Amino acid sequence: MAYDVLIFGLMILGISTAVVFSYKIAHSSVYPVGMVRKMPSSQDSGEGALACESAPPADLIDFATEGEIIRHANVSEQTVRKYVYRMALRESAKQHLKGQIRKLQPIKIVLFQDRWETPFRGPEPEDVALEKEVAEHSETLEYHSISFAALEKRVRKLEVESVKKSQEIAKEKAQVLQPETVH
Amino acid sequence: MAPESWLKISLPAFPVAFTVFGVWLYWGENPLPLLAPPAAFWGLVVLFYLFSHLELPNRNYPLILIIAITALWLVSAITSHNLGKFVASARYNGFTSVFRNRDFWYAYICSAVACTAGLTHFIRFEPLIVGAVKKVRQRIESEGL
Repeated sequence: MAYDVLIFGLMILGISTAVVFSYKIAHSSVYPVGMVRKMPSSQDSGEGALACESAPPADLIDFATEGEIIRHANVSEQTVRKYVYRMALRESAKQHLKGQIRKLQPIKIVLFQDRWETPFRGPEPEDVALEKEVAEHSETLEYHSISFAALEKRVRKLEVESVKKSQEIAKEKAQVLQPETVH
Repeated sequence: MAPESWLKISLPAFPVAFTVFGVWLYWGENPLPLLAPPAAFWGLVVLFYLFSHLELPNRNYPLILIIAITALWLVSAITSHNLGKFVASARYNGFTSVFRNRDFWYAYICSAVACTAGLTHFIRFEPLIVGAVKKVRQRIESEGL
């Protein structure tokens, strides 16, 4: 008798719990997790990304502030210096941000990305804020890198033009001097 | 379902396959007392697999479900043991006689519920897990790691 009561009770309890909690699970937000617990070691190189200080490389400043280029680009040396400095700062911030993301990735970022892509969920507010911030940062960085590339292009063009001009002047001088040497 | 998914549900079904192909078809013995517990255990293993890869924030539902299925597996194992005694006794005279035995119903109802729970959750959530794995793999490949 006791055996029957025990077995029947356990069975009813098990079945009812299974049914109720299956229903609850089916109506809950379910996220896939634990796909990639650890990123490969090659990703762990983000340490000390902030070590890249805001100071840009000296040769870049020299190149950008060269007298000839500044004259042709029609900007002051101070402006170019400031611009290059700002670019270096942005780059440094970008590296730092990447480093932070890499640190988070094994436990969080992968999960956030998965959550955002599945129909079973609703992202939490702090996740959305973080994602927005990252998106804004990347947009700004992209904009600035494009402008910096344009500036670099312009500087190169002016450099080429100035070299060509100096060559032409040298040629003209040579032509002027040639008749004198014949006599 | 992807071949990988079939593999995931086939591997824990090996004890069931052994009971059918080994005990029943090869040795020619009665598989009824041995079939229910491995089937219930299959459902439990599938749930373990699923809820190792899924998260319900701030909820213990998967844990409670797994405990419930473990209870069903236990009931199935106990009653299968008694069903085995019945099958070995003189009271057993053919397949239909087990339907009059209460242990048979306990064992197979518990086993069926455990299997159904595992299977329904697997069908529902496995595509989600496969999709997530696929995306993570693609992302890792695209990053050239």
